[in-house]
Amino acid sequence: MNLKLRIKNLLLILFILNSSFLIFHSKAFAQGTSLGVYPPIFQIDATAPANIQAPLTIENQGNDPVNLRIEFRPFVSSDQEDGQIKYIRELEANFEDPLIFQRVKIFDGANQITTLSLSPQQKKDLTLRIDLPRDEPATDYYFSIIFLSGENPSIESNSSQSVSGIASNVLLSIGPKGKANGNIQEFSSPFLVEKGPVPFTIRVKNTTNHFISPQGNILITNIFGQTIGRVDLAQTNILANTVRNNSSVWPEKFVLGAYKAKLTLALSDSGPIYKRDIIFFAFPFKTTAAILLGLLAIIYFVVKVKTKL
Amino acid sequence: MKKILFLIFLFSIYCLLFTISANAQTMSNSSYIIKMGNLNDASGDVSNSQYKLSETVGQTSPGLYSGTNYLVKAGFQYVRPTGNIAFSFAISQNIIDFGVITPTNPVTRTTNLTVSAGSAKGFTVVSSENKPLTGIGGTIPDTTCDLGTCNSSKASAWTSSLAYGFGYRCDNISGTNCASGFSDSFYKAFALTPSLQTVMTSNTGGTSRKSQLTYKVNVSGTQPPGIYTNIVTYIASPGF
Repeated sequence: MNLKLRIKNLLLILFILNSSFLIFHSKAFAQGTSLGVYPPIFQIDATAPANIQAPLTIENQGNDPVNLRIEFRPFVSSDQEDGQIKYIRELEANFEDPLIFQRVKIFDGANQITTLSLSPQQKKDLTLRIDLPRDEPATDYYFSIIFLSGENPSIESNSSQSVSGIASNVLLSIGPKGKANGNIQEFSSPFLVEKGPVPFTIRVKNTTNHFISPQGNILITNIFGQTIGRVDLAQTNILANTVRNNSSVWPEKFVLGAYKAKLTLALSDSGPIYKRDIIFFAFPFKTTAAILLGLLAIIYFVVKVKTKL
Repeated sequence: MKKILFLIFLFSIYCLLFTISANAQTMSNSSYIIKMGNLNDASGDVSNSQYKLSETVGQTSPGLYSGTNYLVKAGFQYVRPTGNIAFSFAISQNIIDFGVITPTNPVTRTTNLTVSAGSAKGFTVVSSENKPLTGIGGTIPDTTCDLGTCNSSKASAWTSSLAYGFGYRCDNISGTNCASGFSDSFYKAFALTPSLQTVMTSNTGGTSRKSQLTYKVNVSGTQPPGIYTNIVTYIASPGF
């Protein structure tokens, strides 16, 4: 009888416990959000009319479902001239075609979308479409396609929600484009270096109304005119009427004497090509000073010893 | 014994009827894939009358697309020989729960932001809040720090328990990508939408660049009781 009663009580306790878990459970929230996008940039050269299409992939890299909404936001080059962006408002952008964002669409298969839902680890292939009518003016548009996560259910506590967004940048250049034009604003290195690597500062200005993608290199020759080093510049995009800093480094560690660095820069595949030379000197002052001091100390010591003898 | 069996039966039925649905943490079928380091897949040449896609195997959105009157270069393979790797961004906490806030007892909470620039040369993470922490009783204003000198673009020391408000600071965990100005105990206020303020930045890129954001709230004794909330938006953008 006692055993039966005990079992009964035990089951009753278990029942109450389970029920309490079911009834008084607290809401669980996604820990965080993790998103991936490819490609990070679209460089588009077009002449109206055109029906531009290119694939775009968004991935939920997290372990919780995520709802995303799609926004377009214009940007300009950041003040640091380092290739980073600064978002501006659409009104500030003062686009020649104020309806340009209505011509940009994201498609999931045959359906235009402005929102989408992704399961954990799901990857979705989308299509970027831009329909340019015949009378579209020749100009550039720089904007991001931003995937923004939705808001979370609010909680009954003092809290701050976090919304995550990830962007893919679009450099849309509508032609016809004229000849690339610009200038080298700065090509410099320290005049005197102790040792390598040797840094070069290269600032290039694009003076046209379309973005350009210059490429070039620096050839380093020694005092005898022999080419002893070559630095290929990372190809970068320079937005219309802006300056970009494209600093590079000659990785040579041991340098000694006078050197000439010759920069050759092509603003586009069809030119123009600009050249600029600088001279710098390398001398290991600290090492030399240490050796000299060492020698002086030895000489002093030897003289002292001889004097005593 | 019959009663016991009856109780077990009832309990089983109860559990079956009132279970809460649970989502699988990781799913995999023809639509989903196991997480990879990037978004690349095998692909071939695709074309129609409007456009032509041509690239090497191993890329989902491989580079060159052309059609009537246009040419698209997608990704950085034409400007950098670093391959086609996805740009990714993660935030560790979707909700920062401050719990109970008592006057002159600052509450701090942390969240991590992680960026992998992939093939992009650099990135920027900007943030903005939709409003200061707001409740029925009013708002907890954005901090101005100890001397009233900090705002959304300038950090200052905030150590006094008599300086009230809501703000954040950034500390580098992996890489040195926090916006400048966050000396020890220095805080900033979040920019108010539509303004944006840079939280992390890099002009070189990199993988798994992680920064820790510390949110801080401190209220005065006159702060009306209530639940205060807001939304902070973070946008990660690759460089160009």
